[in-house]
This record gives sequence, structure tokens and C-alpha cells, in this order.
Amino acid sequence: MSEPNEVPADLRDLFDDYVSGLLDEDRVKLLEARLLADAQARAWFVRYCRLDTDIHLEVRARLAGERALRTIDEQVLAAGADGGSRRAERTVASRLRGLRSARYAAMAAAAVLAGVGVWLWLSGKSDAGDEIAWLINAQNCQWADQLAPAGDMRAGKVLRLERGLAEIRFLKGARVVLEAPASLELLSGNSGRLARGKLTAKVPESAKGFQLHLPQGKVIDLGTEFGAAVTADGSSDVYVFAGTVEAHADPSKDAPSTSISLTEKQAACIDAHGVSLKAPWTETGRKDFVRAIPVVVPRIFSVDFTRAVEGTLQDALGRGTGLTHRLPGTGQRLRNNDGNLSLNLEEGRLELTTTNSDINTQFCLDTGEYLGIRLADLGFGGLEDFEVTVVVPNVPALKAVGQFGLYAGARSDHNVRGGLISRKEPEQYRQFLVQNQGGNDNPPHYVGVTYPGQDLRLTLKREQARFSLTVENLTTGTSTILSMPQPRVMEGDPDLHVGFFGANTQSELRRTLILKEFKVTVWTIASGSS
Amino acid sequence: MNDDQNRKVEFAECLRRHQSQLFGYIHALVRDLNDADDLFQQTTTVLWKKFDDYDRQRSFLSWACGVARYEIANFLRARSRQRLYFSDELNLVLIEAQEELQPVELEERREALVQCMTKLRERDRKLLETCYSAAGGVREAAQREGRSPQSVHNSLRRIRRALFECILRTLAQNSRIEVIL
Repeated sequence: MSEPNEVPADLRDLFDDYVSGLLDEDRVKLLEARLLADAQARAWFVRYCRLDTDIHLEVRARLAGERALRTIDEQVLAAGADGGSRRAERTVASRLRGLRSARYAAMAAAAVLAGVGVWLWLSGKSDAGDEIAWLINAQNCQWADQLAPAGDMRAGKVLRLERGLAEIRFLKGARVVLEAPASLELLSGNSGRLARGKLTAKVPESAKGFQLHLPQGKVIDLGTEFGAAVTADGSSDVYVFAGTVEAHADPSKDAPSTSISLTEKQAACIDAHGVSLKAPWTETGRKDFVRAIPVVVPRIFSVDFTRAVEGTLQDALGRGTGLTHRLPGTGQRLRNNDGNLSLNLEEGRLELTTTNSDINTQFCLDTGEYLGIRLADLGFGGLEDFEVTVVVPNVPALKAVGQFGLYAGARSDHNVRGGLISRKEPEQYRQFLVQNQGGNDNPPHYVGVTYPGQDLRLTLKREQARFSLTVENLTTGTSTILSMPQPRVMEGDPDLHVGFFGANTQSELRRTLILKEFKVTVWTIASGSS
Repeated sequence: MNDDQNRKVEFAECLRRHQSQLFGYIHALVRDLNDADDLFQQTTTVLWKKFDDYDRQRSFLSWACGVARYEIANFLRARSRQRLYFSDELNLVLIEAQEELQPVELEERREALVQCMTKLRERDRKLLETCYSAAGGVREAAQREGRSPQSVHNSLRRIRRALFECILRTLAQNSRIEVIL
């Protein structure tokens, strides 16, 4: 038997950093070596880890206990207008509270985590079917730890939404639209706790009395629609769209006002000082809340090069290709009847002969071939996701350095482009994706190898603030994706163009590319849906 | 009761007796409560499937931890995170250390922890609750209090040490079990 101070302090620090997940690879190795060498250190270590496990269990037990008591309180409140029976039930609840000992809570936690399964298994019972809420709509959702709710929305479930919008229907009928980043705990079929983030709630008659707990109070809805937002300091704002709600500050707070009744277009703040009425409603404040998940409508532009389209960029013979815009800053010296373009209407393809130009350094871009459309023509407002795709059969061999692919951007010196590039190895292409900033390329990203003669489909997509370039090799049946974050300057820019390009950037050898099935999609928000 | 029922009862009894130690072993190695819970479930499923092969002369806990060890190794491999975790060799010797932590000591430690937590300053107890709750975490606590995550980690380290020493003192006073440290 030895005293704890015999364990060297640095070892204790290692233990603590280990349970906190703060060790890097080298220190994990160091800790491992110390533990392997010393049985006493191992004995100490398992006890320190045990402390961490016990704190977890104890804290969760306490919170579970408090939650259970709140649920009882809610059931008592919801039990109806009979004052006598309500008093009686309150007494029951308070007795329960009195009976709760820490030891009971600790045992409960251990049972929750480990024992209940055994008991249920022995008794042949299943715990399925006691869900209290359902996810009924979701858009672009990313959940913490990739844990999307799936058949497990029971009391105590915490929904941590990191991105997107999620609509949840509670058992009694209240519908909540949760806006990321947010954390909502499901308490019962008619109540929840918003720890952070924003939501709006629509409460039908059946769910009258719906309660939303907030860090420093709660809202009781009397059949209406409201929005609530928890700010970083733990205070909350409540806005009423229709009907009436009661906003309560925590009763424990020594506050001048602990409860306010709010009606349509009124707002209140619940914080450490109690609950207070806020300045009258403004349209701006109203728009801060998402009241319904918007309906996304894809708007599509496509050309298959089987007919000439008047009023569009023309090929050598003056036939409209269907493509409407060049990337600003390119092609100024090309003739209207562009000698580098040739439509083959029978085969449904556009043939593009590359030019000696380079977007990196903006070399000879006045003869650069960057053709496509302007996204605004598809209802693009700057924020929507979009994608552009094209098929390139029988890829020709461009000499190093030659490249072709897709672009998205506002100008020749402000864009993202990706495709295939032929560099050192002859007769070989690598997939690349790069941002051009101020005329010069940032270091490109590379992946994948393709060869002349193969058929490819290229797709450049912007989704959730990331760009990705997918190259499907239609000859081999394989595909590769390269992705990168969207450049800051492109965020919200409504004036973007997308299209196709081809260039023999550092050689005089021009080649002809075949383009088929050019298509652009913008995922627009249907008007009036939010 | 038929044989199947007998087997079930025996298994449930073994598990009931050792589940806390088994859970502690898994949690010590993966450090995340939810992952530990999943791995505990997985392990017990495997244990039940292999229960016929279990040598009744051996310690159930040792056998169960051995099975858990494989489940943990697979889990970490799938997540490609093994470099920040221990080697199998160490996980194996830690089973012995875990076995020495008998249920009675675990219970005493848990009771002592509850007492010691009541002695914490309100602020420290709140911080512990935020950091250890399912919805919270160090990041959340740091954000809420306008502190850096490192500063919250430092506070947690201080609180954990205080609790550990308080538990040790409590056990020594009660001295119903031999305190090995």
C-alpha cells in the first residue's frame, strides 16, 4: 500500500489528459510505456479512469432524475383544471423529489447504461415504441457525430444539429422547425429543452400547453406559433407569430418579473434578471426565424447540341450552340462565328478546338475558350447550391501542359475550375481542382489518372459551401471525387457563371474536344415557402 | 425451467455481477460514454453467443474483458484512430488491474464520489455537470462561460484531482475495504 503522492505528478497529468482526450500520439506512447512498466501505475490508472466513468454516470443520473421530476410536474399540470387533485398530485411529486437520494440516482444511471438491457432481455420485453417525437422533414442536415435520429427519439434524446433545418413533430402534435447550429433535448411528448440555437414551434389545439424549456426559464404555449432563440450568454428571446404564450423566468431567480403573457407580434427576453418585454416586433426580427422548411426546386438548363439555338454563342458556321455566356474576362478577341466551335447536330455534340491560353497568369485569355451560362438566368441569387455537368467522349491527347474541364466564377481572375490536366507524363491526365484568385492559381489539388481515348462525365458542384469535382470514367466504370471548401469571396456572390473550358496552356498543339449533354442545375428556394 | 432458460439465468447473473467492471474497462479504453455503451452492447451479444464455450473455471470478468478487447480493437480500427489509443498488449494487462477493482470497492468509490460532489463549490459542480452531460462538453462549457477550452480543461483537472483525493480520504476513514493506493 502506498500513498497517492508517490505517483509522480507528470504521470498524474498524463492520466488526466488521457481521460480528457488531450494526448497526442507521442504522449499516448509515453503513457503506454509507463503503464506497461509499472503495475502500481496501472492500479492507479484504472481507478482514475473509474472516477471519470463514475462522474459521467452520476451527472447523467442527476440530470435524468431532474428531467423525470419535471415530466411528473408537467403531467400534474396537464392533468386538468381540478385544483384539488392537482394539489394532491403535486404532493406526490414533491414527495418523490424528497425521496430521491444520490445513491438512487447513481444506481439508476448504472441500470440505464448497463443493466436494463439484461432485465428487458430476461423478461422478454422490448423498449421499442416509446418514441415521443419524429423527424418529419430535414434539409441539408448534418448531425453531431454523424448521429442522425433514427427510431430513437425518446425522452432524454438530445438532437444536436450542426447544419441545416430539421422539422420535428412531438407526440401531442406540436411541430418544431430547428435551425442549426442547435441543441434540443426531447423531454416528453409535449415538451423539449432548447440548450442552444433557434427554433419555431406551431402548436395545434391538441398540444396546447406545449412547453419549451430554455437555459433561464421556459415558454408555455397556449395554442399558437412562436419562435425562440438562445444566445451565446444563455439568455433567450421569444417572439410570438400568432396566439398567446407565457414566458417564465426560472422561479429560483430573484427577479422582479418571473412571468409575462405575450400575444401576437410581441417579444420578450428571458435572462438572469428575469423576463422582460422587448421592443415591438420588427419585420427584420420576424425574418430571422425559419417558420417552415423551404421547398427546394431544381431549375435546370440543358443543351444536347442536336439543334441550333438562335441568339446564343455561335459556332464557325454561325449556328447558335445553346450556350449563352462566356466567363467574363475571356474570349474578347474571338469572332462571333467562333472558328474554334463546330456543332455536329446529327451526333448531338459540340466540338471545341483548344487555344493556347491559360487562366493561371491570365495568359492570352482574350482567345480563351470558357463557355457556358450565367447562373442568374436560372434564378440564382448567390446562396443556392448548383452543379454543372458535361460528357466528354474519346478524350484527345493534349500535350503538356493542356487542360479541360468545368468552371464556376464571376470572372477569369476569380473562380474555381477543375477537370483533367496533362503535365509531366505523356498520354496521361490527372484530375485537378483549383481556385484562381486575382488571376493566379492557388496550389491545385490532384487525384486520379485517366488516359486519352476514354469517355468521361465531369460534374462540378457547389453544395453546403464546398466545391467538388466528380470525374466518372464511362469507359472503366469508375469515378473519383475531389473537393475543397468554397473560396470566401464566392460566398453569396449572385453574379456567377458556369461552363466548360479547354486549353493547350503551354504548348502550341491544339486538340479538338467533343462535348455532349451539357447541363446546369440550380437548387432554388420556392418563393413564399419560408 | 428448461436448459435454455437456465443458461439465460446463469448468463444474466454473471453479467449482473460484473457489468459495472466490464463497463468501466470499456469506458477506460474508448473514453466516450456513448461508444462505451455501444461496445458494451456488442460485447454482451458476443458473450451470449459464445457462452457455451466459456470455461466456468475461469473468471467471467477476465473472459468478458478479453472479448471486449477484440470488439474495441475492431471499433478503433474501423475509425482509423488506433494511434491515439493503447496497444492490444497494454489492454490485455489492464484486464488484471481491472479485476483487482472488486465490485465492493467500486460501490464504495461511487458512494464516496456522491458525498464528495456535494462538497464541491457550486460553480465547480455546475461546470462538471455541463462538461459531463450528454448535451454538453468542454467546448459547450467554454462557449457558455466565455473561456478557452484549455482553461476549462484545467478547471476539470483540478476538480477531478480534488474528487479523487476526497474519495481516497473517505475510503480511508470508512476503511471497510482495503485502500490499495
